[in-house]
Amino acid sequence: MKPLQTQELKVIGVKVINLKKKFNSFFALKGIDLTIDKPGLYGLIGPNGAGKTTLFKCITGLLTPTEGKVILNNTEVNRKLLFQKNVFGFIPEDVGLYGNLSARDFLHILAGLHGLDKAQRKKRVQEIVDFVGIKYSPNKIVRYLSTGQKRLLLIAGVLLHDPDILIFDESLNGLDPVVRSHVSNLMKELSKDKIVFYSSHILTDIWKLSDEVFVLNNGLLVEHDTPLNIIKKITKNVYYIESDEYETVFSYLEEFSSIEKIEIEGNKVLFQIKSKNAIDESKEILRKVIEKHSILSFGYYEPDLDQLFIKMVSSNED
Amino acid sequence: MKINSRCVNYSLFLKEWKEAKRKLLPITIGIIIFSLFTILMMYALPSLVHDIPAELFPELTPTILSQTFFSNANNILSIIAVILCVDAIAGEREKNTLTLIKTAPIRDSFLITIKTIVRFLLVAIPSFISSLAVYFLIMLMSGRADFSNYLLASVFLLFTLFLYVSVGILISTFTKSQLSSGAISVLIVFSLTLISSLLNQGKTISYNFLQISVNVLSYSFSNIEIIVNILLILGFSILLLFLSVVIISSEREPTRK
Repeated sequence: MKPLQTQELKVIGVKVINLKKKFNSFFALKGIDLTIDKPGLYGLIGPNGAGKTTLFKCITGLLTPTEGKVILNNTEVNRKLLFQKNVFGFIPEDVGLYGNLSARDFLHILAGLHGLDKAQRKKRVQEIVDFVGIKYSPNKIVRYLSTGQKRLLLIAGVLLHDPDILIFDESLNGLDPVVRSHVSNLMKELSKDKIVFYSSHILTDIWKLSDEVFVLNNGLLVEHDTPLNIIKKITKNVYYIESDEYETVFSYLEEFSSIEKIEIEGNKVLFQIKSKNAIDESKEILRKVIEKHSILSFGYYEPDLDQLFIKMVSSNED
Repeated sequence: MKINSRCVNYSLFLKEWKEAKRKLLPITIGIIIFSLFTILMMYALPSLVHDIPAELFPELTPTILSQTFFSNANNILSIIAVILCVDAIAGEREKNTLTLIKTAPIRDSFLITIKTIVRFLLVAIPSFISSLAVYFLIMLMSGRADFSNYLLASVFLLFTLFLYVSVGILISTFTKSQLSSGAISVLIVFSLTLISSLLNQGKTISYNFLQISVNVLSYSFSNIEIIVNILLILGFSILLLFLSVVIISSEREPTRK
């Protein structure tokens, strides 16, 4: 996809400084600081009510922060700065569409609303339709489109004005695997020269796609790193022993001073070793356990993503 | 960095008009039928009500017929005007489409202006067509009518409707749903009708701008009084629209339902 026009050199970035947002007496955001300063795919995860949508709405100026500020491309977000609205493209989770318009009219009107004149509009709409891969008839009335078709139309709609920053709130949710994979590929493609900041409940997509992941819980940013580093941090030196006698194994492991944390997950006992030489230490522990108990398996613990997410969120709540 | 505001405003107008024009034909047909019925009912009334002697009914002069039409039109079209405005902002908020507008480079003042113009056209076109239809019916039934006075009343009706559209837009701006917007609008229109009925006597009659389209057929107004009435209508309308802009610009959570 070609950029809309010859672009001047500019700094692409999102900076959020001590962002707080209060609804009545409830703080939805309790002081968020984050910086994204280069193109890429950035995932935002968090449980329901963590503040993801509030954060996105504050970044796009749809909500006025109670405290703190948001800077987009070196300019502080201000609803009165009209040019700033062409810096980003935002697809909220629950956005509505003008259901009585045709898909073509919808795109032309959105392009016009972002300042593209008639000549630019025609060319640009066709370019974006091709890029996004909209296959259905442009005369189709929007309210008759499927969920996936509507999502593609919205993505096309926010790309028309060629924004530097794309914000997708739960945009992969509710899509069938084929459309989801298509949208994921589009996001990956777009992230080559744009910041794509998105949230999703589908953790496999977040871990697989994102260059960096932000974890939000209870209005606070609790983690920020590459997906691999986050997994490493959480599962560092964690081993498991699978046994039918997992309760007695659990009690036995409690006696080891080198073990930092123990927990039971199904018939597995998970334990984290605090020693620097964790591999040797784990072997030694295993040897001692085998002497006294029968075990089914042993290994380095690799949690599934849902468990990892629960761990991150619950460790923060502790 | 510079935004082509003409394109933005034209696209917003186009979007509003494309959505509104679907309603234009049914509204026009409905208003024409209602308007013609108000006149035909006047002729049919003596034969429908048998208990009252026919001589007690007024003679159906073109003025009486015109007054009947404008009086009914004033009451009914004012409600239609505010009801057509409930979706202006509250409807967008309810359908979650306000986000598309609030993330586009549109000035709040233009947003309110364009929404007002489209809704005014939606009520003004059917009203004007129906008033012409009624004029021709009166000509047909009574054979004569004062066109200049009738036209003046029609123009005043449009001015009054513009004021009611402004009322509707303001209510739609601060309400969160179409239902609450509609309920408040109807309540306000009834209150305004009541107030204008109370003002329709004595000295205040000359400046009772909410009933001006009816009164202009019954009383002679000086040019100054006509200008004052127009200024009052426009002044109040602009004030209401200005308030709408202030409300929508100062909202901290504009898209929140």
